[in-house]
Amino acid sequence: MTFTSIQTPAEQTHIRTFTPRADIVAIESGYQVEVELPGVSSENLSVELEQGVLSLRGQTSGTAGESGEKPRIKPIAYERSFRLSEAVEEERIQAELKNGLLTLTLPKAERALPRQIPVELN
Amino acid sequence: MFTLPHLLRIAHPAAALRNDVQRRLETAAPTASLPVQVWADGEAATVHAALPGYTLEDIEVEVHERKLRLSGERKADDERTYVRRERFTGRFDQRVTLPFSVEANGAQAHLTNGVLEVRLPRLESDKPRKIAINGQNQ
Repeated sequence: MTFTSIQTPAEQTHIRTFTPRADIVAIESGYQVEVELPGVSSENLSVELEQGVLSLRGQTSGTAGESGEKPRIKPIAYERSFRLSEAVEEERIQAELKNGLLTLTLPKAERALPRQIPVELN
Repeated sequence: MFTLPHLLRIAHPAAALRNDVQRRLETAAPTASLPVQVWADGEAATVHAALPGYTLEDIEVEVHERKLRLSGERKADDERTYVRRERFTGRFDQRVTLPFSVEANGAQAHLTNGVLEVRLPRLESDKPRKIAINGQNQ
């Protein structure tokens, strides 16, 4: 899944920006973050990782409001950042956007997971 | 003039905290959590509700005259281990008053990217109509 950057800084200043609600759940292999981004489609969402900080920015498309059809709706933006612990294996982070909900799966690095050491019998 | 609850707050800080929490729990309604926007022109009303992560089966839409009712539930998964919990769970039941009566048969609802859009055409008999000046009503 590729994420494209969305807006130039000049255009960003006209858009109301909100912090989206998110649940963070501990799963066996790491963490799952579910972020509410109603009205955002994948081409208007960017998820970036830099120096251990995962940042997301999504934008709704809004409508121009031709008469007789949809009303004029202004686009709004959602922004949020998460600082990741060092245990997260950055290369294997996954992101899925479905029904306006972004699910980020953050796997813990192999070495951070509890492991069984096989005991050999002589 | 102090009312009795106010006196309680001053006399017993602990009681005040309990009363405040009690009052908030009693008055808290699930409807407070559902963001809804309504637009209308002469022909139809459009309602948007933000329901990210919901599917069609989770939502019920009812229409009657000038009232739109959006209800549904998102069950909390008690098996999960939450590190942080912000999303709303539970039942929502939101009633919206529309600017005019609508034609339930012509209503359309779509769920796209977690936004429920309901388009409600205005009831023909509720539209303004011209009255002939010579006094004959339709």
